[in-house]
Amino acid sequence: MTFCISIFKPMGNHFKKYFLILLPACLGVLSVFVFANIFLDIFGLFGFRENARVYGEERFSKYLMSFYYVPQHFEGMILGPSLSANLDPEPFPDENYFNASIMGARMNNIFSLATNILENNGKITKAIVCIHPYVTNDQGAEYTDFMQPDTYWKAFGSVNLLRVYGLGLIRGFDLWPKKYPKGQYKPNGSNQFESLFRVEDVPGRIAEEVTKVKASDFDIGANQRLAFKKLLALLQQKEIQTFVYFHPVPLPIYQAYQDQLHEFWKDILTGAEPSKDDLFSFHNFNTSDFSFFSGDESNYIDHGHLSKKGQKILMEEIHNQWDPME
Amino acid sequence: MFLIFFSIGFNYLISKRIFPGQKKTLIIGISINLLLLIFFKYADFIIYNLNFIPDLSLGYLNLILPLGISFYTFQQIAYLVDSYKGTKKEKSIFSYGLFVSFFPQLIAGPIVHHSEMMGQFRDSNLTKVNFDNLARGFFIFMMGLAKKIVIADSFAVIANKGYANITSLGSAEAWATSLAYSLQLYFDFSGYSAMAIGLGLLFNIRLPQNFNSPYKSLSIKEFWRNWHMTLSRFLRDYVYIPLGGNKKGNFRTSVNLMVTFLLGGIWHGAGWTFVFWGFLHGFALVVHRYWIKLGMNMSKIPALLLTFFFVNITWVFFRADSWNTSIQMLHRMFNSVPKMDNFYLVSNFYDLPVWIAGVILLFVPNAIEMGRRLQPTFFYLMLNVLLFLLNVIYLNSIVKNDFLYFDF
Repeated sequence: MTFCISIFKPMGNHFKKYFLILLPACLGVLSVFVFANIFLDIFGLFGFRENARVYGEERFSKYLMSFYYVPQHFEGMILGPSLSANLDPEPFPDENYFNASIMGARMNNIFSLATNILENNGKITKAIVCIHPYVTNDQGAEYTDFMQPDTYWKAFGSVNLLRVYGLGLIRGFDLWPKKYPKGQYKPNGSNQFESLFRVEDVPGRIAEEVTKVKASDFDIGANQRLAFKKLLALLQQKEIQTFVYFHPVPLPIYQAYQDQLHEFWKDILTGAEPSKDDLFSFHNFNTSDFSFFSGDESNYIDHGHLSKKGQKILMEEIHNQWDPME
Repeated sequence: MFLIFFSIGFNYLISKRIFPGQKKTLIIGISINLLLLIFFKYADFIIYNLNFIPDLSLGYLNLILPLGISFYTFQQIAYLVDSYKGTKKEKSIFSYGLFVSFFPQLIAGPIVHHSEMMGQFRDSNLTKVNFDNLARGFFIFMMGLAKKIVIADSFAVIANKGYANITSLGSAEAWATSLAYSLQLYFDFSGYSAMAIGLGLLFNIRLPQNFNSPYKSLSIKEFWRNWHMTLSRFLRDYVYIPLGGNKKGNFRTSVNLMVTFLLGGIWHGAGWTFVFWGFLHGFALVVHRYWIKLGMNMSKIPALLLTFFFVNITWVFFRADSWNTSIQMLHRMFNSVPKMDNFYLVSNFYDLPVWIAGVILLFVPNAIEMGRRLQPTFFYLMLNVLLFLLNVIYLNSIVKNDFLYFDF
């Protein structure tokens, strides 16, 4: 057996010079890298950037934007999963909203993000919260490391940050438009993913989903229930005017699971009771009154996500439903 | 901490009473070391097997495995055996304690030999600043760290996801999972060993090499000369040779090889899958021995592929958490099975450059060889600075996994 380490040949004084240059060189290069990241301030975290936006690594990016950029530049926020991620708040004329929805988010993720936004003493006064059984179900929930205060330090230099730079370049120069379209994320956080997610046969996809839904999909998980309670308490404590809405599912799904959907919403309202006051408005879009919307398949791009047309109508509805409260 | 202090104190004291011819004391010493190891590492495995006896239902102890217990137990057993053989003993308990607990290699090796360490600890140049060692040590440490946190952890994402979702894997995904684990394990463990060697050099201590590009091996025998070399050395010197080695005829040599590798298997983990993994390697070595005896030969590339794929397949037993899981994985690897809808083993290709770098690194000089070649030039300076930056970036990122060999 050969132990190669024992045949290192000493090189005398050359190594002294080499090593004495090596250490400052390491620290110097590291400092340059860190200062470059601070200067670029891609998440608007250090206050150097007025126009930060998401390029990719959505959870990471939106969480870092929630430290400074969102609380300092926006008056309202939209919270939810992918179902609300593509809602474009631009039509809300009087308020400057940021869509902080995250793909695949559960209530615990939403709570982490909202906490960070509201704890950073910003201008936020309004919130729209999207509810759906997916958001409150514990099955398959990811407890991501991204939504923790430690993530702040990753903005000084990390693989996650480098990926965002890479995606920024790909989108900026439109290098891979089919996978990473240039304008997918708007400056207000809205994720315009319709072209990526749209299925060809929307009615077929909805019909397929009707057969796939299970009774357990409507269960509210203990962790998510607790997170929702905490979210409402936080919004109340910070005096945020909040509109909580039940995302409209396509009519065939509604008709097949009407009772479960009503029970689910009743359960949500019961859990929210202690927080009910003037600040909160709850609205269920899964009623027969709203079937003009949920029955029109052109409002959807698949079994739940909304098309541009659907988003526009829903945003108007939210605006109309919320007006009386103001 | 108490356990390692006890272990050091006990072995130091009993070694004082071990001399050539005093077999009883040696047996007591080895037995107490093994009992401690068995208690902490194998108690639940023994209980699991005892519970197969009808009407017996013993509760598990669920003990936490003390860090590095397998490594420092083996190291000290070797010291006791050497004392029995009459080699020079350590006079000071502090020197002995330093030999056992020298922190770079304490928790995951290399398993060091008393004779190769104590002289270095006593060397008057030990406390002198040696820039040659500092430069090489820093470079090797950075290489090892990069192997672990950049490459091994990137392959770990695939391996962990695959093994956590075996029933969703198709044949291609099953192969990808097993290959990812083979690469993860190599870069993880050899990375740790390189870090230990690098750290040792920073303190003017030269630790033995533990890996020498094992996946370039052309036979299973060569593989075991290059994989976890210090464990192979321990098993050879303290199990295989005392059993008679290859001096007692063909059949006995085969038995000795099998016993040695069964022990090697159980050393790695308390489970039948580890025993079977050891059996497979022992069996392969026996087959290889007969193959050579018959004068048969194989050209380089088929030999390399055969060795690598054999090792890769046997790692399935090493990694899977149960017998059933291993069988399921192998079933998927060797039968045409479609993957489950909506399951993606690889959800993005962000790590593609790292995967490519990992495969390339298998075929270029390893960290120790590169450390040996290091010259005080601008090229190496830049390489070292970039490695440092890369490591800091990865340490500050959310792609982390524990060292695999901490579990052993």
